[in-house]
Amino acid sequence: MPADSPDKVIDRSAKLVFSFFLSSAGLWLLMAALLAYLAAAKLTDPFFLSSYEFLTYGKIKVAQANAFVYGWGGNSIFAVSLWILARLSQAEVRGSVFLVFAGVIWNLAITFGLLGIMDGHMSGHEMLEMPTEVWPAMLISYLIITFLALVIHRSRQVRETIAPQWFILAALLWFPALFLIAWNGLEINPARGTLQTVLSMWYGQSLVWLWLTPVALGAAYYLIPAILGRTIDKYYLAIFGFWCIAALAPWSVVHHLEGGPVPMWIPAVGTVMSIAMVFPIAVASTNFHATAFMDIGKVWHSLPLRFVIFGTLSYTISSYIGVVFSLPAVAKITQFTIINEFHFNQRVYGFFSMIIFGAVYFALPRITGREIPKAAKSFHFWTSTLGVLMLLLAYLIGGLTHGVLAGQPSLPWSSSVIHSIQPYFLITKFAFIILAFSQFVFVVNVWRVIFPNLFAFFAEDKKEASV
Amino acid sequence: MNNLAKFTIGIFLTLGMAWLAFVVGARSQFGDLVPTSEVLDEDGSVPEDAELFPIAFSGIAKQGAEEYAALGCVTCHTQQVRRVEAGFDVERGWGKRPS
Repeated sequence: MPADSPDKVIDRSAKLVFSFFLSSAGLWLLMAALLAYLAAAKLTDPFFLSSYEFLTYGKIKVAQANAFVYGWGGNSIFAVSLWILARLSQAEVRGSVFLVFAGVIWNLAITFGLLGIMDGHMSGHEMLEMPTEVWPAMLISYLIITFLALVIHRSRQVRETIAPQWFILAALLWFPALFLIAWNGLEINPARGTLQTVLSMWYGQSLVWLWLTPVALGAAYYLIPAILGRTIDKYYLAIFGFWCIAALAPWSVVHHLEGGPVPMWIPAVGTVMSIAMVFPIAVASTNFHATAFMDIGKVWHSLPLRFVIFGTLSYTISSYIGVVFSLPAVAKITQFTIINEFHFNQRVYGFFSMIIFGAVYFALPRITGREIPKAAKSFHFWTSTLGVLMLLLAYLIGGLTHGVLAGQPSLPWSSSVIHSIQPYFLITKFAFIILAFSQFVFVVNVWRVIFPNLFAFFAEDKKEASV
Repeated sequence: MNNLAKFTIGIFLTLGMAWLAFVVGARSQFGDLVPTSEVLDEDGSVPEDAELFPIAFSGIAKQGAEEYAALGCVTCHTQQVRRVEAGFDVERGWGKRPS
């Protein structure tokens, strides 16, 4: 009996946790999709479901962001990080029971957090709106998962680490630091006045730049060489890119405070560092796209890689556009328009989510031993692409319209400015419907492979009925 | 990069630089501001019986502030007026001066 290959042993050890975190992530993705649709619908028709107090727009919008980042983002980060670290360490996943237990606590904490938001107990801090009662549970469950991820990394055979490991480990380790700093400055030793604004902005944006982004970048650094079978082009730049992001990103995120009630040096430094971020963005872009375009046919034919390269292109474009938005002259027009939705969604949907989809489609067949039909993955890809592009175009064009019209004081606010962007809200509503549908396809694809008996059960029923 | 301890110290150092600037540094710059009056005495102290600003909300205003936070009004509405160079807020008559 031939021994299983080391990769197969590792995949088998990861099966329970990967399946658990991925199933949870999928459900959160659908929850976030529903909330996003409700929010967009309320923008087109403010009286939509308006008699339900727990569904007011402010609560829905906030709940959507939290469900998406912590629910979908958190669980998919756990799934992908643990598996990639295990594969690169050539070490088995240990403590699966503890990981699942921690994951259950994480999911419960976020569930109660969201219920708290919708019940009117928002804490008012950006991306930390969930009531403070759930924060300890989130932190403890997160620390358990990170500890066991570090255990995998520490038991690696090969001492040398490569780019995917740096990015993923950094993301896993940065989150608790950010969380604790924010918790301290906002709740335990609350700072006075607008100091809280600075900290809130710093935490909320760093969550995207220092948690979601590095995991997606790490996954791309792993998947592109793994699928194409070639090394990353100009890989020697990757370490430079990593440390630039580590050093510059935590400074650049506060440029959003431009014009706000904070000392001017804060957004000014943020803008300067944001412009400096062009270097690590260019490094990542070169690494990914120079490698991919050497073999573009193979990229297109591999569904996982198709998702990943869509993601990396979104990363590059959205990051460069973000640098442009950080310039005060541009921010004057765009700062409080729906163009921020464009920027946020391009990062979390177009970049992060698409790369996670690619990673999942690559890992799942290897972990479960079951293939997902190519047509199903392709359908998910096209509906995702359609939804994302529709969403982004609506927010981009709508946002520019919004900004330009808002800057003309002679135009009345409600009848002219807001009225002009109503059609764009309608487009985003349809985009969110398409995205929700595409995400439903993703969840079905994933669940069919993780829980094949569930679907076989339904199929059997149908067979019996036709007899 | 290969030594986990050194790597961890490195990434926390880079994060720590930003923390020092935006959390510690900003706090030392304006973290000790207290409510003050519109005009100060000759020696720079707050006159007795002078009206202090900003004051904490009380009564119905406080309830309103709590409602504002609970309902997530800040997703659409801002409470601050931007500096004139940074936006059109004052131009549109949304405030007499930046706040």
